[in-house]
Amino acid sequence: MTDHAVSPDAVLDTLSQELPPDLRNHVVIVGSLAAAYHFRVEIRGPIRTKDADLAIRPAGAIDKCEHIAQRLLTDGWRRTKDCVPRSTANHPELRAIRLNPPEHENYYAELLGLPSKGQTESKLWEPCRLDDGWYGIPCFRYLGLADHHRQKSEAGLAYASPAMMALANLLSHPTVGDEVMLAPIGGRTIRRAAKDLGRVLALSFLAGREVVETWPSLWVAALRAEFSDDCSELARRSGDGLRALLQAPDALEEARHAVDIGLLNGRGITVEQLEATGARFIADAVEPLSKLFKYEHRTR
Amino acid sequence: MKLQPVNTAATFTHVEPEFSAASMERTLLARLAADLGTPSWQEARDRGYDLQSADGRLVIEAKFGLKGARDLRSAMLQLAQTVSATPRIERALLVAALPKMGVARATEEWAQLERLFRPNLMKRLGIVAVTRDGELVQPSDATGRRVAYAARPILGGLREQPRALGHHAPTPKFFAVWSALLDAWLFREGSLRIGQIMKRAGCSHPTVTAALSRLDERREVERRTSRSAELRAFPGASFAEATSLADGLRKPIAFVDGTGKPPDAEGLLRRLARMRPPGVAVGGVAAARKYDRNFDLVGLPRLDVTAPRGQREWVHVLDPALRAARKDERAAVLVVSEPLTPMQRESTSRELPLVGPSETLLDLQDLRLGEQAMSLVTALRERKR
Repeated sequence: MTDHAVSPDAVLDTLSQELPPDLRNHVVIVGSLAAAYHFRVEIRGPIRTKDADLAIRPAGAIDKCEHIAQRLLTDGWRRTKDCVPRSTANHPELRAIRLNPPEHENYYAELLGLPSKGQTESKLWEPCRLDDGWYGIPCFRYLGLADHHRQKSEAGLAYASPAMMALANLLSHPTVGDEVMLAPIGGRTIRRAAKDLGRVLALSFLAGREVVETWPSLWVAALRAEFSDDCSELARRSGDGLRALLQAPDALEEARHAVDIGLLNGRGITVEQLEATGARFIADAVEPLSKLFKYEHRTR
Repeated sequence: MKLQPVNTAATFTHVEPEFSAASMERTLLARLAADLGTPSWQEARDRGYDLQSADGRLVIEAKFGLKGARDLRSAMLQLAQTVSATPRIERALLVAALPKMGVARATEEWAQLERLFRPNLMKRLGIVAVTRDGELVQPSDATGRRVAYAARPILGGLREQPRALGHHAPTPKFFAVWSALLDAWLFREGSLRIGQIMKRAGCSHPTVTAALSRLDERREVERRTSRSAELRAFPGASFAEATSLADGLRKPIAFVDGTGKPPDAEGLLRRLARMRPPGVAVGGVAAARKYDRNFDLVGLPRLDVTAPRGQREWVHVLDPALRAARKDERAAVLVVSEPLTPMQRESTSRELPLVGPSETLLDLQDLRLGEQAMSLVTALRERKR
């Protein structure tokens, strides 16, 4: 399925109606749909996306993922074409669980896992057994942050706050790296870090300074809860990847392209404007976060 | 003959150097007459000098157009002839501006005159002169010092601004004095002593007096005998001049939001209030609202501040996304100007200092809020003291 323009609030409304009521409390919408929904007033229009990323609560509950996937299939949800089973849990290329709603293909839901405490890998594929074989649940190390300070849609569905999505993306990319997105974005191959860190910039742009300034205190609480042992170190290096992006013209141009297709579509955003957004974000959120931990360290 | 009020009919923009010199001489004589006090003074041009005391024993000749040593010798010779012919004169003083001479050269010239004239005549002559680098007072007795004290403000102004006799653009210092006077007028403080103006404008005594003379030429200032001054009314001509010269005077730098977001001047003002960078004072619409609670404008179109020359580092701290506006780029969110005067209005510990209302008016003019600027003038003048 290719990206197409969808209305974020329409998708979230539909999703909340189509998800069985007893499953809703176990789901947090993350990713571009959550971001677009949160800023639906500022965006004022449809966005290009292809999926609704559903992070399954609680953290580490793969059995809950299995239960939800099985329940959806029983209710008539259908696997996408690339959602195919493997014969063993050890298969090197387990496929993610991607399901279309029973009666249309306006979007598909992809199941993600919140990481277990102590996960050190940036991304871990947890095997998940359904009726027809084995699938994978991708667990991102920092996605647990999305479970903090959750927001609720008008229809009552939980979605990740922009603050936490921004922090998760910041921590996920301490460098720009070479990993590229499997699917082109707007016809161009984009580095994953450029796309995710570009989204951080888009989130901060849409949130505005007054709101962004409140993020560091939210981040402190979430980092302590999720990473009690190394929260200070994570805070210290939280801006490394973003700073690297701002210093890499090619990657920054990729980030510009990604946000121009995505959350900042229609604004004619330039690289220069993205640089300025980054400089402001670092001053308003990244540096204060680091200082909060430094201050705490000194007063201990 | 009673001394007449100084004729300041010359218009500001059509000043001929000779006429201006004569006008300055009259200003000086009026000042001397006022400052020297009793005995009362009279004009005595028909007798070969400018002023004489009531008893005729002290006379003063003012010369502003002296170009060099030859003119100085000529003026002294003329005065010596008059003194020689008038036994009643005990002291004849030449009060002169010598902008093209150094004090050493002037002293040397005076020494040559001492050798030229008989001692009995020489002891009845004196000079109070301001050169380009100093002052010559001979003899430096009580009378000489008294006249020098009275003449210094005007003569000194000529030394500091040797082109003051001709037509030239006003200096930033002039507008510092103007700003101090206008602020005082808007707050209905009454006349300011020269010392107060010096302090508020951050200018020397000669500069203040030169500026006052300039304002005097266009009848915008009322000078008191107590060495104080006050604007007569709102100085429309010099305000128009300040507005037209504002870019050169205040050297404003406009900053735009580099992210491309719409300007958020209110947000920037809140941040500035938290940050309180040293030397930075708020002007423009934000200051106008403080001066007049009923100031008629919704929203804050941009943030106007003043900051001392060279102090711009705080802008990057205030918002790293700000960048200097390109030529013809609009939608500035912040404009930083150099202050005309060192004065800032005191504020509470939680509030930012304000620039004076005169600079606030210039900000409003720059924002094309002329109507609101004039309303602010009215509001300030009608405010109870």
